[in-house]
This record gives sequence, C-alpha cells and structure tokens, in this order.
Amino acid sequence: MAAEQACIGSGRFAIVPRLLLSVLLLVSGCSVNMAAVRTFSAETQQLTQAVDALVADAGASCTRRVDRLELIRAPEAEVVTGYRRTCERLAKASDVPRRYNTLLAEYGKTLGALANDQAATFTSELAEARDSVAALAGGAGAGGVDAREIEAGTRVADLISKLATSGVRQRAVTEMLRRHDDISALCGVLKRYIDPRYVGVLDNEAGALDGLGIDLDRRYTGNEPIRTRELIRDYREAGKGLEAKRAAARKTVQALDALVVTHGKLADSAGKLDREDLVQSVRSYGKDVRGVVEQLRAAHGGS
Amino acid sequence: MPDVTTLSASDCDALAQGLRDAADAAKEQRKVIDPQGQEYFVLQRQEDALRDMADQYTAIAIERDTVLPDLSAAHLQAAIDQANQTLLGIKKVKAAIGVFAGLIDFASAVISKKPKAIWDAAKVLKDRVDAVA
Repeated sequence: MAAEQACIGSGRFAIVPRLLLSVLLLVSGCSVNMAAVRTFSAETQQLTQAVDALVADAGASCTRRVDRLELIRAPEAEVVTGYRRTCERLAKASDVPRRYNTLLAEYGKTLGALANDQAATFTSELAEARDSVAALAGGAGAGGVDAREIEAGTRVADLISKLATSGVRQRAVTEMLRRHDDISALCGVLKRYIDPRYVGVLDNEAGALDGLGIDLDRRYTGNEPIRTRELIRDYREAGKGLEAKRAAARKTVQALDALVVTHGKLADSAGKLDREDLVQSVRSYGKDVRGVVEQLRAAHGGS
Repeated sequence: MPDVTTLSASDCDALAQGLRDAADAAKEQRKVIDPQGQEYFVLQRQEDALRDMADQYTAIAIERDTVLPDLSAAHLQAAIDQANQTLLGIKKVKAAIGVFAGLIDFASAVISKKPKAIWDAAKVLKDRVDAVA
C-alpha cells in the first residue's frame, strides 16, 4: 500500500515539473525580446507625424502663393477668389493621403502596444480613416488610389479592430507583421503624394516667389524702398524655407522606403525578432526618420 | 484627342509639370522692351493663371477624378485682353507676336477643355517664350 502510494506520488510529482516546464516554455515564447519592433513602432509614429505636416502644407503652400501675388500684383477680386478655390481644392484632395497616413500611424501604434504586451485600441481616428478609405471603393480610381490600395487600407484597419476586440497581446505581433504587402501599399500612396505632387506645389510656390521678387525690385523700389527691401528679405527667407521643405519631402520619401524595407525584414523574421541584425536595421531606419524630423525643423525655421 | 475621362493621375502630373514650366518661362520673359524702349510685363498675368492651373491639375492628379478644372472663361479673357493690350505696343517685335499666338492657342485649348491640346499648346508657348529670350 505504501509502495503503491509512493508510486502514485512520484507520478504526480513527475506531472508537475512537466506542467511547470510547459508553462515556462509558453511564457518564454511570449516574451521574446521585442526591442526591434518597439523601436520600429516609435520611429514609424514619428515619421507619420512628419508626413502629416507635409500633407497639411500642400493647400497652405498654394494659399501663401496667392496671398503674395494678391499683395504685390493686386489682381481683380474674382480672379483671387478663383485662385483661392484651387487652394481649397488642393487641401481637400489631400484628405485621402492624410487618411492613409492615419492608418499607417495607427498600425505603428498598435504594433508598439502589442510589443509591450498591451492591448490594441481602436480609436475614432482609425474608424474615420477606415470609413473614408473604404468609401473610395464606390468611385473607380477616386482619390488617386487603386482597388488594391483601398483593400490594403481597409484590411489594416480591420486587423487592428479585430485585435482590439479580441484582446490579444504580444503574440499578435507576428499576425500584424504578416501584412507587409498592405503596409507597402499604404507607403506607396504616401510616396506618390509627396513626390511629384506636394513637391510640385512647392516648386510652383518657389517659382512664383522669384517672379514677385523681380516685380518688387523693379516696380516699387523707387516709391517704397524700405518696405520693398523688407519684403524682398522676407521672400528670400521664404525661398530658403521652401528649399528646406523640398529637401524634407525627398527625405520623407527615402524614410518611407526604409520603413518598407525594415518592415519586410521584421516580417521575414517573425519567429526570431530578437536578432541583432534586425535591431541594426531598425536603427538605420530611425536615422532616416531623424533626418526627416531635423530637415522639417529647419524648414519651419526658414518660412 | 483623348477622352478627358481617360486622363490618368500621371497624365495630370505631366500636365501640371508642363504648366509650371510654361509659368517659369513666362516669368523669365516678363521684361520685354518695345522699339521705343518701354518695358512691358508681357506675360505676368499668364504666369499667375498658369500657376493656378498647375495646382489645379495637381489637385486632380491627387483626386484622379474626371472633372476638369472649372476655369472661368471671363478670367481667361481678362488675361488675354491684358496681354493683347500690352502686346499692341510691341507688335512689330516678331517673336513677341509668336508668343501672343502661342498664348491664343493655349487659351483656346483651355477653353475647349481638351487636356492634350492644353499640353501641346503649353509646350508651344514655352518654346516661343524661350525663342524670345
């Protein structure tokens, strides 16, 4: 009897260590070093803030151009009204890339939350962006995005929504990283918007600035020399600011390329996210993002 | 002529670039001197209109919708009249008349709302302005 109890007891003790081992394995599997993913998330959120600044500036650039020509050349009021309508149209058209940027920002934020073993959240901004992108499907080719890009946007938003409601945490990082093609599509929309479109609008503003400077010098120096000199100085500074903005736009496109490459590496290494080369790759991406932020800071100091 | 509804976003990008080029050419050639030595700002108003249209086409490229910019005929006519008046003073300058002809072609193309024609006319206008320079 005693021998039988000892036998049962030893069997029980044999099960407990096995269970403990299983739990330990499970826990250690969930707590992979996510430093690379966390850094990627933080850099991506910073990059999307920079993209937001560029998207908001397209309509503003047009408005600055019209403000200056109204001051110097004083065209008829109805002509100015027409020009201002164009600026409003540019600002409104920029709403689509802005929504795509929101999706990318929310993706980065969710990835960071999951990597920190926190729950994903579905924000009202994300809901609006999702609805806005999904609505594009109604008009063929509307918004400058194709069907594949519309699907990519809605899929990313739906995934975050699903993760937020299911309450899954760190183990969902891999599921998110699998959406590499969708992330690449979102970045494609933003890159196309920044160059040639936003850069083109800045080129237009810069070209107009040169012409107005010539006009000022030629027509007003004699009558209003002090005010003319002030304006010419302001226009030169604005010209430098525009050059810095164009440089920031070009760097942003490079950083979006780096985002796609780095995300691809993370996606390919989903089971081994603590690899040193991944950390290096994310750091390199972070360097690109810092370049954008610094360039934008310089641009806003100049205009 | 292509149907306007077939305009792609990249067509609109190209059109916007052509209009910006034409505006830059206009800007550089604004200073024209007539035989009496009088200076004229020949294409000043055209420069502003061209830049406005460039931004409109950029907006369309972003939207990639099928609606052409709502160009005001009165706005264009005012621009043409201004150029006409200015150019009357220098009508003996052959190259400047070429620019004027280019401007008329351009305006006609805009009024007809045919993007390919606008594009071609913008290029012709730019070439003529370059020739004057």
